Amino acid sequence: MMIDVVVIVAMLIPFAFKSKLAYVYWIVLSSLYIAYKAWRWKV
Amino acid sequence: MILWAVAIYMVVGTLIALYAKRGIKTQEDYFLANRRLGGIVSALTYASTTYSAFMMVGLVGLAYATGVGSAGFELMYLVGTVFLLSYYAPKFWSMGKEKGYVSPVEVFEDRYGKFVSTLSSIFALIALIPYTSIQIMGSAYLLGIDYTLAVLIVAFVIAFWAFLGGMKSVAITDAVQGVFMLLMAIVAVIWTAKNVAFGIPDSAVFPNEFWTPLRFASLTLPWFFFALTNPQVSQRMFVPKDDKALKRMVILFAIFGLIYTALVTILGLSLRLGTDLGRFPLVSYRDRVTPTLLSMMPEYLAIAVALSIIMASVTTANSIVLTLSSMLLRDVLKDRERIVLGKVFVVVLTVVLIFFALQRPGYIVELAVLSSTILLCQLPLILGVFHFKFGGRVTGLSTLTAGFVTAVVLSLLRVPWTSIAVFFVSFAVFFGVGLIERSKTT
Repeated sequence: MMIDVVVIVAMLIPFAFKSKLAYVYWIVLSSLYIAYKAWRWKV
Repeated sequence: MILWAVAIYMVVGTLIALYAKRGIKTQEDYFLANRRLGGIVSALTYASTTYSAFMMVGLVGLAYATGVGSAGFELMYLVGTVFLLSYYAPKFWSMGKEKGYVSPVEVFEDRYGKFVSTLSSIFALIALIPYTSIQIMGSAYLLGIDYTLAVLIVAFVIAFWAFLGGMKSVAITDAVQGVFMLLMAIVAVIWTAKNVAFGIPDSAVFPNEFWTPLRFASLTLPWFFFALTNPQVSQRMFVPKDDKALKRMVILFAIFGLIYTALVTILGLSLRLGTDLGRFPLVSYRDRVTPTLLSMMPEYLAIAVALSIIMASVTTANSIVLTLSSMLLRDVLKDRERIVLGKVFVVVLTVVLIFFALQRPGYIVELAVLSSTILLCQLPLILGVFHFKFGGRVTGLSTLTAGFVTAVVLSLLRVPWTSIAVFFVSFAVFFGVGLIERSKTT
């Protein structure tokens, strides 16, 4: 749960920087989160 | 030529539906494919149901007009969905199997009573019928033939496969179409990279005048909880055959969503870069960006991409029709046995959709945008089933009514923070009335 909350909050970080690189940041962060879920999530 | 493509598409889909219709005996078979779907088909039907024509038309235009914030908005939805599914999908799945739930709002019946599941189904109908009509209208425009005939063709495709084989038919046809949608998005990006431009223009920064914190929150909030509040996707938590298939559904859907979102948004951003470089015309109405791109492509490619957009509409619409049919049958009529009535409702709902689509009224667009905001009023009740012991019939009815009225009134007043208000009002009423109801009963 902790990781989930951290990732969701981290999705808002681009509000602090006026940049087009937010696009790359969001894709990398979402990819890492999905990889983490695939690895750690036990149904 | 596009009519030939649609004809081939209809024949292939109908053959799949005829194959899928064998062995349907119960409502579980018809509406849930007997809870026997594998992980890959479950993932692809989840993705195809979720991702409508909004992606290749609406989101491309949004990225073109407002920059990289459109990707943040859509990926926030994806992260929220993965988060919610990883916690709630196993609970929904095992509860559905244990108690025989078919319609997603049956989860409410044991806890809040029959009236609440009935009211929830009626609100879902009000929210989703205009939204689904938009899917038909968009596809009908893309066909480029007489509008009435185009609406009838698209509506027939939507209803016929669901009518014949129920969820199994919808899921298999969704899976095939989902792969095609993804392939065509890749083709569109490659063609644009070669012939227009590829990259992110300097003007596409985030945040900007459009993507303020308030607008981001207001647009993202209903989508963040979409996986729980929208019945056509929450019903899909019941269909995987085992826990491995359930996990595979969530992870593969997430991978599909990530790739599709990245492709669609880079397409919109690249087209904006093309405009800045003078290689793509300036498009001021953002929903015209994709049609403008199609008009520049070779005919065969434009037809294939247009067909993928029609598929995105059909896969979303037929899943909604099937889910609403199950809700009408089981939660409004309380019939838990007959399949034939479910098929009748598929036809009746499609006729209603045709009626809406043929009217083409302006308010239909506003109602469609409102759909996820209306459905947000169910969220406290869903979370209440799993986390809170208080709250019964009165709590359920007052939460749904307060949230629904807030959504409709504020959207009519064009309040930009409508979804945020619906969220807080629904939870405030749920906790307030729930605690009073508990104190009266103890």
